[in-house]
Amino acid sequence: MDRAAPSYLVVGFLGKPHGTHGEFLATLLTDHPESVFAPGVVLYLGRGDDDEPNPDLPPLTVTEARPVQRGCIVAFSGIEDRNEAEAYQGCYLFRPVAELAPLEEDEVFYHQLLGMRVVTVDGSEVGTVTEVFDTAPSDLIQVSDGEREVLIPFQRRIVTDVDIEAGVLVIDPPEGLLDL
Amino acid sequence: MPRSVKKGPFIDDRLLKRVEDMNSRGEKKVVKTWARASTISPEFVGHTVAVHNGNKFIPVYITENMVGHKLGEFAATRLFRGHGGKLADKRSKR
Repeated sequence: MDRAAPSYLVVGFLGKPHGTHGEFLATLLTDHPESVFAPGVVLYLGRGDDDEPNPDLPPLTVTEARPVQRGCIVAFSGIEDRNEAEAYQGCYLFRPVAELAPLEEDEVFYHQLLGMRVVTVDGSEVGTVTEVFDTAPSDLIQVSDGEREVLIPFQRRIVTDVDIEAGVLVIDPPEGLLDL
Repeated sequence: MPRSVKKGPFIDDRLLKRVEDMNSRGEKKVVKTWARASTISPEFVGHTVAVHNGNKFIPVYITENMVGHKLGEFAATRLFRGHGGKLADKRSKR
């Protein structure tokens, strides 16, 4: 699959069944759970290393979802008891990119940042983005040059330009940031 | 029980002094600190403070809405590494 423009994105992970009525404890892997886990939304399933839905697994329609501390409790139509639910435990939930909330201005998906080259405003190479950490209030990107890793706040004052097409992040790091 | 109002917020003296020195010189250097319990004062806004999380220093860029919170709130002691490289609907905004 083309990682730059995937057709589906993962929006959640089905953990253990919850209760005896076929509900699941789902881990949220989306920033818009209220629209993804709304009644009537169809989600596709994949397992393990699948980068897109597994055609052998049936799509599931959300009937009810409620937030809890570690994600949300979600129910799907056609799954009425715990035994049926156990068959889907450990599946990832996919949703077509076209049905997801559109990106806002200056917003990027984490996977678009991964692998981007990072250079400073004076043109010196820092490395490539190897990880994006979901931290508040601004995310952290981990940049590696093969030998060492540095963390950089994904903040407009520090990351001055994001060129998705060219795959380049331009940073203006304060003195000492790259030496931590 | 909350901290006595009479004492005012706890702000690490050494950190505050270094930030005030930088402000007077117009510098923006990263300041390392272990003072996770220190309250963020308005003088810190616009600086990057490297807060130790028990393992390494986590750079925290201080913005206005962080004033009054503790530094440790912004330097998690565990960083979640995601779900095995899955292409998730997670977004980042500068």
